[in-house]
Amino acid sequence: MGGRMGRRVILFGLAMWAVLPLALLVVVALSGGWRFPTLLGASPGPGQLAEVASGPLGSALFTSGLIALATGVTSAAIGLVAGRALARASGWVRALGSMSAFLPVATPPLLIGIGLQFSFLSVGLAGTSGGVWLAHVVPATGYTTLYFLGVFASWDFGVERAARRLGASRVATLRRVVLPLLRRPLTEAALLGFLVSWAQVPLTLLVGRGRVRSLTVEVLSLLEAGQDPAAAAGALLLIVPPILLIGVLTWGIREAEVVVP
Amino acid sequence: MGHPGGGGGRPVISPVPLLRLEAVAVPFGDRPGLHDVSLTLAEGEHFALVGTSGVGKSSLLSAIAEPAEGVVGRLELQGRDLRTDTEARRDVVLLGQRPLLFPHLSVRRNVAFPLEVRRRPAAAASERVEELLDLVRMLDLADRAPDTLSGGQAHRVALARALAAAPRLLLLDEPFTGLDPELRSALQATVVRAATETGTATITVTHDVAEAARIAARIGVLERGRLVRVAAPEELFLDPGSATVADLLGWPNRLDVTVVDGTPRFEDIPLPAGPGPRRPDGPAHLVFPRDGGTLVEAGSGHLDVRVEAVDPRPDGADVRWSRLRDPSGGPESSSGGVHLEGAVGVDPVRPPAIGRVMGLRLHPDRIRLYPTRSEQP
Repeated sequence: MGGRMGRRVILFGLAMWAVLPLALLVVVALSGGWRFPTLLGASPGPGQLAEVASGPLGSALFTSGLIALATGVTSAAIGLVAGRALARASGWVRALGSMSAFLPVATPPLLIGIGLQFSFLSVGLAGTSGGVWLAHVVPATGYTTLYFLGVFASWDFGVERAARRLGASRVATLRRVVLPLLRRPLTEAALLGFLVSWAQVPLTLLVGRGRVRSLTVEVLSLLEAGQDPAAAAGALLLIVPPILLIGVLTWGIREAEVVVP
Repeated sequence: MGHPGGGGGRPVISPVPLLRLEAVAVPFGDRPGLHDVSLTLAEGEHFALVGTSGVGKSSLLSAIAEPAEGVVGRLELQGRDLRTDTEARRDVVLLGQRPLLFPHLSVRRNVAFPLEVRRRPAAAASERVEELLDLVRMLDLADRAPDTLSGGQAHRVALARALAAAPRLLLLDEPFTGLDPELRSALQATVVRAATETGTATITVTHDVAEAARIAARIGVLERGRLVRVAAPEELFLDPGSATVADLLGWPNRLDVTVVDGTPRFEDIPLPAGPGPRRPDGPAHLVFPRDGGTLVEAGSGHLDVRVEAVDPRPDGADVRWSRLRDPSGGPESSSGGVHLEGAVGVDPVRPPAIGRVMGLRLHPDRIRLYPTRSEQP
């Protein structure tokens, strides 16, 4: 009985650990401010959430969403091709390829950002959303390539061979067999790429050069400016899209896995 | 022995060859594999390929279905080069040991797949799918997902799917291995029936020569990378052509003899030479099937052997015999052991006692003598 109670206490503690910061964010976002030494936020009201749509946070949300979506799709596509090629390779080619895929994952984004900004400056991509997107693709592709390497390690290439032997062209095999079977891994890889981009700060700051105002960059700016309620609202916004996306995609994957009659 | 093609006879064979292989060589990785394989196959003909494991049966089928780099020689389907003509390759379908159904498609859509990629009109395709599902007795399960099927059902769907491609040549690489014998036999019969109906030629790879004889008009024997024999089943059963092929056919008796003045001798005991012309002197293999010898009283001038065991068979019983090798001479057996072993059929009602020494009388019309050099590649 004691053990059961102990487990409940631990679980409650863990839940609080996760929920309390979010609850505080909600309180701060809804209040007009929360200044030391008051225990609660002052003058509760509509706060910053209502102003999100029209203010800088709304624009930053849009920019972040666009870049993260583009990163998710691009990194999933590149990861699919690279992971597949690596899975079919052997010996030193596979070892070297896997190491190359791991490199952008292991390298601190700050380092990647510093490296990329010089080359991007020379081609005019620094300070642009396109440049930030390309920069985000670098670490995201590392993750998706390693993810697809795992997927293709247990992939039955015999199914593709069967399709070819039944008269399907390469394109038909890809369209009718490979891509439908990879719907779930592709979705998950795109989500992984999205999340890598969504939470990215150093790369956005360095390559965006302050001109690309993503949500994370905007929240940092608000914090630096002491606008805690607006920063809290922005922080809350950082959580909402990934959760929504995970929910929608999980449902979508389940629907997509129904066998075609 | 029934053969496909109606009326228990041979299929009507057109003089125009469907498949022509000439001096085909297939490497196994970085070592030599199949070499100098030549074969022609007629339209609608059913051919079986037998051989021991690893001899290259599957590699030959793969080379026909998808000639990879490294495959040399001439591979033609109706005069079209299978290596360069992708349309010709579409007329060849290989059905392997795994059904490899598409897991995201229902049974019906799996069977429809070859028709869809060929852009057949939907109504005709749908009708054909129903026919094929009916043929393999899978119509009731047409809307099921592949992962809900049993192994036998999955193989039946794979077969229907292969037939939906309407190939001119269907290559069957032991597609029903692992299934119970009854189901395997039924599926083989279905393949032959369906292929005969559509005029599709087949090449079936199998370890089971009896199965090959049931389904094929001709049997090819692969041995050490070469197609050493192509013959009708009954011809092959009468004269295997080599001791290795005899072994493959399940002939359990093999004596390493020396031919002296046309007479095979084993430990100085003269044995019958079998039918055919006089054999050249020298080492030879004397082989015979279960019904090629009879056990008689010992000491009657025949080869004396010891009864080791009596194995019941569906059609009688076998005696497994052995003979201690004479340490003073005689060629080494291929196994290098000290015993000679074999089996002959006996009356299951009155089998000889185990341990008894008896004479092994050979039947001249059932024994075959092959010079040892014929075993060399």
